Parts: sequence; structure tokens; C-alpha cells
Amino acid sequence: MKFRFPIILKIALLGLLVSAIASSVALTISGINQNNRSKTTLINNIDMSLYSVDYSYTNGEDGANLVAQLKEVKDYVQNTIYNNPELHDAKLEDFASFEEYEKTFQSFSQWIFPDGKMIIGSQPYFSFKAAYRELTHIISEAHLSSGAHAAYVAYREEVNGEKRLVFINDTRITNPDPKNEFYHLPGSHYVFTEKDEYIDKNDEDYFGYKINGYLTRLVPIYDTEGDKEEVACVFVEYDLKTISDTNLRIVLNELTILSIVMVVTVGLYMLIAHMTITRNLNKLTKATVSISNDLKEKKPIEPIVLQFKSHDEIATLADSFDVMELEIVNYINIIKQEAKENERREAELEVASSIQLNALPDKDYRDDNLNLAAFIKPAKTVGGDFYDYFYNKDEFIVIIADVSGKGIPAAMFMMKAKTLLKAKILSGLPLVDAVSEVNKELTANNESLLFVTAFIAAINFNKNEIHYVNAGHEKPYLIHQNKVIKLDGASNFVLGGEEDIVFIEEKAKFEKGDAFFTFTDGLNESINKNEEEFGYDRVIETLSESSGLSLNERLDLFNNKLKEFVGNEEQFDDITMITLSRNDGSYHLRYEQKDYAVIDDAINKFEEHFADVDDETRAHVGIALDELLNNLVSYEKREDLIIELDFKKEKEGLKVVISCNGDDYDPFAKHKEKYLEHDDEDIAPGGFGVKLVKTLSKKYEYHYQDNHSYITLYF
Amino acid sequence: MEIQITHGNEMVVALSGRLDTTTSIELSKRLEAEEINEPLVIFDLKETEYISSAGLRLLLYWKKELAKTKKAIEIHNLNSVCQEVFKVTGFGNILNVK
Repeated sequence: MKFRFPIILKIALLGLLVSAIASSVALTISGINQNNRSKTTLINNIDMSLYSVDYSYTNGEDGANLVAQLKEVKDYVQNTIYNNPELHDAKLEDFASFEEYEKTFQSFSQWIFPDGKMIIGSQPYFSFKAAYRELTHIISEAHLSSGAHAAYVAYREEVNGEKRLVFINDTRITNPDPKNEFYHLPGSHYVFTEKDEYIDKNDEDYFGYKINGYLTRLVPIYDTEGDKEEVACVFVEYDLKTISDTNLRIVLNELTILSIVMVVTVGLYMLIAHMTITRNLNKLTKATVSISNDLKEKKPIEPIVLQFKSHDEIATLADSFDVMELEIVNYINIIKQEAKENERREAELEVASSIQLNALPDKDYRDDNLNLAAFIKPAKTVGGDFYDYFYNKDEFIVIIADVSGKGIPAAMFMMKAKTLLKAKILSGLPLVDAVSEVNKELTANNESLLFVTAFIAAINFNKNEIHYVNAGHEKPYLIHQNKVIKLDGASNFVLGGEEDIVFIEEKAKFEKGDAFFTFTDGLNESINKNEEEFGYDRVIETLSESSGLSLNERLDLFNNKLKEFVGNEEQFDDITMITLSRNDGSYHLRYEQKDYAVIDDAINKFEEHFADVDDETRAHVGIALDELLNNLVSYEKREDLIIELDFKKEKEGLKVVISCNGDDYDPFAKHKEKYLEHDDEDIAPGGFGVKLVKTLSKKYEYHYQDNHSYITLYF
Repeated sequence: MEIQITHGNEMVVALSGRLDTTTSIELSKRLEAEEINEPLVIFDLKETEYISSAGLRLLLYWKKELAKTKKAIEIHNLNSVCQEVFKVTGFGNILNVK
């Protein structure tokens, strides 16, 4: 079975692909927005808290008090720690324990916590030195209210060309970051590098630095007295990476939800698609397969009416299918009906064909005046060719004709033409007038515009002539003394074409012994596989070859030549041939073989041809032929022996001439006679045979001429 | 030519048609295949149209052949043509014609 990719899967995959692309685009956009949104919110919060710090330090007496406190802390850090190189370089991670730190920063600790020890992370405010407490409180507020990850206080200074930040306080001392224990120890400092960037208030809403991947925003605290120098700055620091991480998590969550929604949606989509599309398609396929199976198994088709309720293209297809199915059923019924009809029609045609052929006279005719042989072969079952012959008083009429068209209409027209011709000719009208009348009758009411070509001949035995009317037909041939002559008289228009035609009658000599050959164009227009026509030349050639043959042998010769020429090509036109010969009472036989079979054949043919001769004479001729032919076949030396026999009724009796191309041998010579008067044991063959011939014939004679021997006998 | 042979007190060979060169060969073959026990063989030529010298030679041959076993032949029912042939050739004297 062939692999099929279900349409439902295709639809699902396509849906999945499209929604995946759409979601990723949406998510990316949303992610960017989210990022921007979070960043903006954070910075707004930081700015708010910084503003609050700024406000605290610049607001009247309280502000001045705060600045004084800050200055106090700064001074202490600057004087006691920053200027002590040992403490100045200390880093939290360098201390093994808090005790160590405490020890090192003992003086600082004592300064901040005059009443007790400093405990990082959980130091209550009240235990702080007041100035440090306020400072820590304010920056913690800024840190915690903004959502930033650290806030610290530092002052900026420049030492030997280096820009430094010296730390005073850090919120992480009291609110350590659980992920990062780092914080700026008071008195430690940071030296700005070239990579660090100062962000001016003009670019952003506030000042700030970009240090080492961290962004800070700051508010400077100015001295309320003197030249109002910058005492220190409150910094709020935030980490851009944290914002991105948070956003990624949000996006991932959204993605998961989206995926679930997508899978559910696509599932629903498939279900709906199946209900509306593929389920119907499957039904349609099933119906189609069922029909094709019925057709294959030649079962009657059981129509499946689909009639889908939907109004989509598939329903349209199903409607077309329903229509097509009914059409197929109807069509099959029509074909079956037509097949039956055809069968019946063919049977009728066969009957029609036999009626038509029966309407034609015998294929062989013989009387004292003439011999006739006819051949007809329709191309379709019922043809348009016909022939006829009959006596009209003492004239013998021969008709050959070809109706235009084929099949039943041509056959009916042919019947009409044949009947009319015979009736008009027998009515006593001169031949040409009879033809003229027939033409008029055929032309009248000839709505189907059929016509017929015809050759109508009358043979007059007293005048030794043939007179004829050629109505557009092939010109026949006469054979006179082995010469083939075309009957080339005037050709008239066809019958049934035009009413007012003056037909011309022609005549020619037709003497005893002459033969006549006529045919329809099916013969000369027969085509071989190279599309060549049999043609007139082959007709004439075949006629010349057939001059010594009997009439039926002549027609056989034509058929053989035609078969050889045409090969396996289909016969496309009716073929009709008629040949007749005027009797001169003579009969000719020719044998080109030295064989005893010649004897029997010659005697049979003679007896057949001269059936009207009395039994005794025929017996005498038979004996003579047996004796003399036996002698020739037995004793002539040459192998290419040609024996010719000529029979002719003459006044003196039946003349038989036996001639051959053999030696000069006179069988009737005296010394060759042998009389059997005694019981002769050694009877020479031929001896008493010749005696018999001499006795039974009325007259016998032998002569030798032109290397041929002639035995002439009369019976 | 039709050949009809009946056995009995004598064997009867009834011939119809022509007894000539061609048919003599046929008849000769038939007779050679026949077991002849009867002392007399009658050739009944009632239906025979005519007989030529070939036929005569065949009859003469069988006369001599049968004589070797002391059997005789007779020729019966000749038509006028055959009678003439027998007369002209002198066979009427040699063969026992009835």
C-alpha cells in the first residue's frame, strides 16, 4: 500500500508552525517590552528614593542637621580609617572572622557603638551613634523602597590625578544581600578606571556611574554652610543582569502557558477539521472505491448518495460525485442497451446481406452463346455494388453498377436501381432510352442524394456486336484473339444525379470467342500498405495473363493477385467483377507438366465442358485422350513438356487437336500398328491403343510444324 | 471410378465409371490387397462407361495372374462402347467375355 500523509496531520502541522512563529514573534516583542518596562519602573523608584534623600538633606533645619551629622561621620572615617593605610586597604573577605574585623576596626566600632558591640546584620538603630544611625536609616530607606540591590554613601576626591570614591556607609552592612556578602567597608575606596562612565544629569533623569557592569544613580549632598561644597553622595546601585534574568523567567513561564494553549488549540483545530473536512473526504473516498470495485467486478453499481450537510467545497464535490455516479449508472445502462441494439442490428444486417446477395443472379451462367462468371465481395455486410444479366429477346444484357455510399441506404438504392433497370430494359425501350428513364426515376425524390455508376451492355449475337451505355462507370475490357482492348466509348453522367441528361450509347465488335471483363472501382482502387492502388495497369496485365484460362480461373487469378497486392490491408470498398466469353464452340486446355495427372484432368474437363455431347462420342474421345496422352507422358523425353488440347464442334463433328512441343513422332504410321490377334504375351503399350484411336475416330491426322507435333482427330 | 467387390461362390468386381490409365492403377492396387479364394473372378462392367487399352492390359494381367492358382476370370455386361473396344483390339477372343 502506498504511504499517505493524512491531510489532517498536514493541517495540524501547518497550524502548529504558524502559531509557533506567531508566538515567538509575540513573545520577543513582549520580552523587550517587559525588559523596558521593568527597567523604567526600577529607575523611577530609585529616582523617587534619591529625591527623598535629597529632600531630607536640603530641607531647612533638619536638612542642615543631617548634613552636619554626615560631615561628622565623614570626618571620622576620613581621619581615623582612610588615613590609616592598614585599615584603608582592608577588605571584608580578608578577615577570617568578625572578631578579627572588630579588632581591626576597634576604634571605629567604639565610635559607632559607644554603648556596645557592633553586630552586622541585626544591629538595632538605637545602639548606633546618632549621626551614623540617621545616615544608615536614610540610605536604607532609599535602598529598600526602590528595589535596588544596594545603597551606599561615599565621597568623591582626586589624589595624584586619580579619581576616587571613598566609602562612608553601606546599607548592606545592616541589610546584607543573601546572594552577595560583599559590601564597601567604611574608609575603603574605589579608583575609577577608563572603562567607567559618568552619566550626566543631562542625559538621564539623574547623575550616575556605569561601573563594572553595575549602574548607579546618585544624589550629591552639599554643605549647608561656607562655600557649600559637596560633602558626599548617596548612591543607589542596581544590576541590569538581574532585571534580564527576571524577565527571562517571566518569558519562560509565558512560553509554557502558550505551548499548552497552542497544543490544546491545535487539537481542537484537528478535531474540527476532521469533523468538517476529512470525515467527509473519507466518505467520498469510500464511495468512489465502492463504485470502482463494482465496475471491476462487473456488478451492478449500488449508488451511494452522499448529500453532505455542510456548504463548503467538499459538499460541492460530493454533489458533483452524486451526479457523476448517477451519470455512470445511466451511461452503463445506455451502453448495455446499445450493445443489445448493435447485436440486433448486426443480425438484421446479415439477413439484409443474404437477401441482397440472393437478389443477384447466379455467379455462373452458361448457354450455347456464352459463358459468364461473376464475383462480388461487399466491404461492409451490406454493399452498394450489384450486377445483373438476362436475355432481352435475342440480346444478352449485362449490368454492373456501384451505388455511392455504403450500408443499408446504399443497398436499398441499389435494389431500386437494379429493379428499375431490368424493368425498363425488358419493357421494350431501346437501351439508351431505358437507361434515360431509369435515371429520371432515380433522380426524382432522391433526397439522400445517392447515385449509381453503371455499365449496361447488350450483346447481339447476330450482329456480332456489343452496344452499351456507360453511366460514369469504370471502362470494361474486351479480349479479342488474346488482345486486351479497352471499351473506350463515351462516358455519361452517373444515374440519379441529374434528371435531364442525354445519354449516349456506344457499340463495339464482339465476335465469337471474344471475352469481356467489367468491374467496379473496388478492384482498381484497392490499396496496399504503401497506399498504392492496384490500378488499371495491373488489371490489364492480369487480363493478358488469363487469356488461356477458363472464366472462373480468370476471376481466381484476379483474386490471388489482389490478395498478394493488398496483403493484410482492410478492404474498404465493395469489389465486383464479371467476365463473359462468347462461345465459338471451341475449348482449350494447356498443361505445362509431364505427369499422368494430366490425363485424368483433361478427360474430366472435357466431359464437363462437353456434357451435351452424346455418351458414345464422349467415350470415344475419352479413350482417345487416354491412349494418346498416355503415350506423350510416357515416351516424350523432354521434361518441360507442354501439351495443349483444343476441342471444337464443327460441321464434320467434334474436332480434337492434341499438340505438344515434343519429337516428331507419328503414332499413326503403319509400322507402329500392332494387331492383337493371338494371345500375345508381350503387348507393347500404345500399340493396340493407337489401333483403338484409329478405329473409334471418324478421321485422324498427324503433322509436325514449328517444332510442334499435332494430332487432329474428328469424332 | 467406383470399385465394389463382393465375395461368394465367385468374386464379383463391379466397376463404375471409366477404366483407363488412371483408374487401372487404382483397381490394380485394390485387387492386390484382396484375398481371393474363389475359383472364379467376375469383372462386372455394367456401369463402366468405357475401357481403354490400359484397362485391357490390367484385365489380361489378372487373367494370367489368377491362372497361376487355377482361377479363371470372366468379363460381364459390356456396354456398346466396351464391346466395340474388345472387338477392335481382339481382346474379345482372349478374355472370357459373357
